Amino acid sequence: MRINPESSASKDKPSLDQLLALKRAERPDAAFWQAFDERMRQRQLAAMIEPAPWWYGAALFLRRASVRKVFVPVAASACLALFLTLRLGNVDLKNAKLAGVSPSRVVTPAGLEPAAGTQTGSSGSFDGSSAKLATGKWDRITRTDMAATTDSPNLKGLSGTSDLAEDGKILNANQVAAVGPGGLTNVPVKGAALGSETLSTVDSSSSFPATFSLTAPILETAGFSVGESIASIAGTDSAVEDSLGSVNFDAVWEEGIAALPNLETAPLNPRQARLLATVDDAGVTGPTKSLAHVRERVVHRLEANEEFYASASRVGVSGDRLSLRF
Amino acid sequence: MTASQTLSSAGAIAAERRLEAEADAYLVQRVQAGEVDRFDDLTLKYRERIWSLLYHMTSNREDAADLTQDTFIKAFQSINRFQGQSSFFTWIYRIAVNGAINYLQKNKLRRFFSFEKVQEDGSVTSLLDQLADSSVSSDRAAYLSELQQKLNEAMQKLSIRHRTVVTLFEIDGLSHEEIAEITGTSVGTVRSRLHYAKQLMQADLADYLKT
Repeated sequence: MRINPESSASKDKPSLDQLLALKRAERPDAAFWQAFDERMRQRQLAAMIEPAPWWYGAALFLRRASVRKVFVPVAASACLALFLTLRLGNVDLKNAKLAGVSPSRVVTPAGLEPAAGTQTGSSGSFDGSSAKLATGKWDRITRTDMAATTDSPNLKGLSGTSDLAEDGKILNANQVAAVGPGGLTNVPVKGAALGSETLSTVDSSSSFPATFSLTAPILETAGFSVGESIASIAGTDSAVEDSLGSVNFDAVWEEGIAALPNLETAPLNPRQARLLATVDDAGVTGPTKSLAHVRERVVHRLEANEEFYASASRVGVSGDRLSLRF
Repeated sequence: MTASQTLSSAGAIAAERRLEAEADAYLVQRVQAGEVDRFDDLTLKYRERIWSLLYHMTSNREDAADLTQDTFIKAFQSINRFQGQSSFFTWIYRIAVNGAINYLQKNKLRRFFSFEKVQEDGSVTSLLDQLADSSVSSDRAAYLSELQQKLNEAMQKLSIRHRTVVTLFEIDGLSHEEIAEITGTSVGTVRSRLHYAKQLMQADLADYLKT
């Protein structure tokens, strides 16, 4: 039904106050309040057993401890400053660690010595990733900033000169090292120096020599273009072009793989087992697994020495330290 | 009503509020001392007023019920922090108003109205008898429903803050000072908002109001 405002005289119309009085009369019935009370009781009980949030406890503590309000922002600022200091200090520490890595500490797989003229990480050679690979610093490169998915257009240039970026093939550390000394690192290519952004992603604490991949955005962020570098060098220097063409990467590859002892599958003899002592490496993965691998390699070499075998009771590797127990 | 009558009425209300505040303070002390059941007395005392406030702010009876429960649960959880600097009545109204404002701001686009029936007590019945002429008195329920709908529409057109002031003053009958304390504004701001809100409602309901 529609009210016709014109149908009633003006004197019969209500005032705004009278209409608002109607609003006061809008009240629920008793059944509503009964349901309301039941629901209210349930929620109240649930609220009683619900643990208070952490900030509530903190606020209560501050109130009870009569901490002046001015101290709260001061304390928060101090915490923030401490956090930023530690965080920035950590980044500098990482860079310092990388810069301090000397060639003498470089680890290369057995049977493969670094080639002469090998590029160091900061000498501005091939590019960030290849410099790391060439000097054998693969054990100091984090999983994320390491090498190579071949979707990158920048890496397509490599496909003609090496197997490093072949059809999405992912190389393990030993394979990369095998390619490195005899292959790419001998190429006197030009390129950008190792960028600071790449440096900052190197983390010795999470280093490992295992399977890795290099994503295109990392290379592009660092400002490296491998394919373009090689193409430009090959176009300007015929000697380089010749040397690239003369390198048989497949042969180097096979040679390197063959030279590596297959430690993971080779059974341990009792002498090796005694030196390896009681640590169970089963199920260990990532960086820890690599340490176990190094330890086995050391045992493999040293157990041939009868005198040493008789005196040593245990061999351990932790980080870059080798420990012997006699 | 003369000025002296108005003053005496205001004084009586103030005295009543003071007694009420003292009774509330005693109950709050008992709850803080561990007598949790005493909080039920406070709930029972204020639930209809809080629900009414929230209902007129949201125009939805179910939302108002949920918000009322939230209000009392928050008050119960924070009762130990209540230090008696204001009355319990003001404190719980502030919790309710803030909860309603948060709810309305979060649900600007998702609004459903559900209205309560008008309980026809003496004052409303006489008002309706006065309002209804012969043409509509035969269907007073429909007439009342339409008036209610128009009024609620006019209320919902107001901003949240103006609606709050109108509800607290015109429907809950609080003083300007109490509203200022609840909303955290000055008395002048309350008066200004009230005046502006009533102007808007007058304009919106012009066809239905006495000129």
